[in-house]
Amino acid sequence: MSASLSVRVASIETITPVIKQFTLASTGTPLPPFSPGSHIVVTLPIRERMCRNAYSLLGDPADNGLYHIAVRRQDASRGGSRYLHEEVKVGDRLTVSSPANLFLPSWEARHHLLIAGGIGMTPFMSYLHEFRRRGVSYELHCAFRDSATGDYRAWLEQQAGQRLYCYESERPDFTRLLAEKPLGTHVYVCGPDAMLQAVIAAARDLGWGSGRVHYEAFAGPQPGRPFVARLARSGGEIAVEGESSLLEALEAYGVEVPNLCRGGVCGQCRTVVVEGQVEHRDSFLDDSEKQRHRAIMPCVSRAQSDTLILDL
Amino acid sequence: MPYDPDSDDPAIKSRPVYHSPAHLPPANDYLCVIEPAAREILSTLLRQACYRRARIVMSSAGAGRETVPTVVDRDVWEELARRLDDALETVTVGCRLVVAGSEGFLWDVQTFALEKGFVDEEIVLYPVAGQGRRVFCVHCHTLAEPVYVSPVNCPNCQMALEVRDHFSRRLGAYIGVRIDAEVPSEIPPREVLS
Ligand code: FES
Repeated sequence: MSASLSVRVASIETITPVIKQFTLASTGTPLPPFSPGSHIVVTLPIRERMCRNAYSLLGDPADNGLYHIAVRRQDASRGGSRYLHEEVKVGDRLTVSSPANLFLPSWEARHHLLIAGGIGMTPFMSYLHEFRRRGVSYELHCAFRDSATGDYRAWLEQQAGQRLYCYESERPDFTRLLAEKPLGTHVYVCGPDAMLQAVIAAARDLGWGSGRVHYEAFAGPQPGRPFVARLARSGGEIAVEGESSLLEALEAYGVEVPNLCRGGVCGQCRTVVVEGQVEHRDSFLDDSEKQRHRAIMPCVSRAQSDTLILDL
Repeated sequence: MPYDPDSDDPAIKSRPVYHSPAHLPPANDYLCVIEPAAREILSTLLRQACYRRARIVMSSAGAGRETVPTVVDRDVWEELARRLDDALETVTVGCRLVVAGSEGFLWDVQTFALEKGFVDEEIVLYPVAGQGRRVFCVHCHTLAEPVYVSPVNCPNCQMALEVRDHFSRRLGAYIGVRIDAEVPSEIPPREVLS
């Protein structure tokens, strides 16, 4: 896992009633630089447990020194976004990971087709800074659930101009968006899982090679039923609360599992299951692997059975 | 530049394996780039496929292939590349690139297509058997084609070359190394290459 950094909350801006932007500054040594599409994992102390959420860096990669993240308040979530919205004040210290990037633009592309759902526009905000510098060809399609996206929309309009297409309540017709694109086009999608799946399916049906289809799920772990994780090798037993992910519970217990996206996409946290039924919530394992219940992505997935025995 | 055939250049690997599908992968649009020797193969493939559009670009090379290796003529390739470029102007994403011909030709076209924005999974390669190999002489950097036997004399420097199974994807060629380096003029019997 990437090294952790201590940062200070330099400012908090309310973008809309449900989105706040946090600006994070270094508390000593300068913050590591990042590339467009990077994210950081923020550690939040909620009651006794630690909650770790991944957020895209939306600022200009060339302007190092500060990290900007946008946090949408998710009421049905495990409390991480609520904690940031309600508890965190300017001047507070937070622990974050070094930036990691699973969503870098393919620079060899001749045209970049960006598709965002709601807050999924944030990684593309860092793209646009770099696109402007490099003068690359792109178009950005944003679907908003509510029109309350305030300053971000104005900023995108100003940056992208004619290249920005907004969809208020209707879903864009992905097959139409992807049809007849010049050779060398790459598509990038960031948004809710249903949107990712729809774009991936449209691209496949039109014959796009998967090498030109890039996606990032912003869905972090969702709460679920509590269960017990037993460690086959070290012999421990961990009660995983409903609000906590298995990965967070393992970390709190002192077991380090490699991880990067914390969203069930990158495959880093794959862990062998010795016994038990898994409730798979990731998009990394394929269907046959999921049916065998011999592997789990603990960053998002949980147990169907009361106990899960892990090869840890 | 000195050339070390056993260097770890990632583009140099052992013989490539071609998983040419018996039927063309389904698509609406095919761009087919072939050598004359692949005409039969292509027409069979297209007859069994269902599509809206297929375009064919044929190289003028290899029509009456000699069996004696000669220095590869780059002008033939340049002329084909110009026609390919024109065809690519109107190609949209989703098109399948079908390449059929001698092994060296397959890699020339594939390298060119990747540079122009195709991705690996959109390209299918059909090697035509019996077209010989392309060989890169590591001593004078000449490409020779077609090569059916090893050792072979480099058509440029005349050195007797052992044709190795090392294949350079960048050159679309097997590596040829002087065979009588240790004991001059002790040349083993010729072997027919598969
Ligand atoms: S951390 Fe990426 S899949 Fe779990």
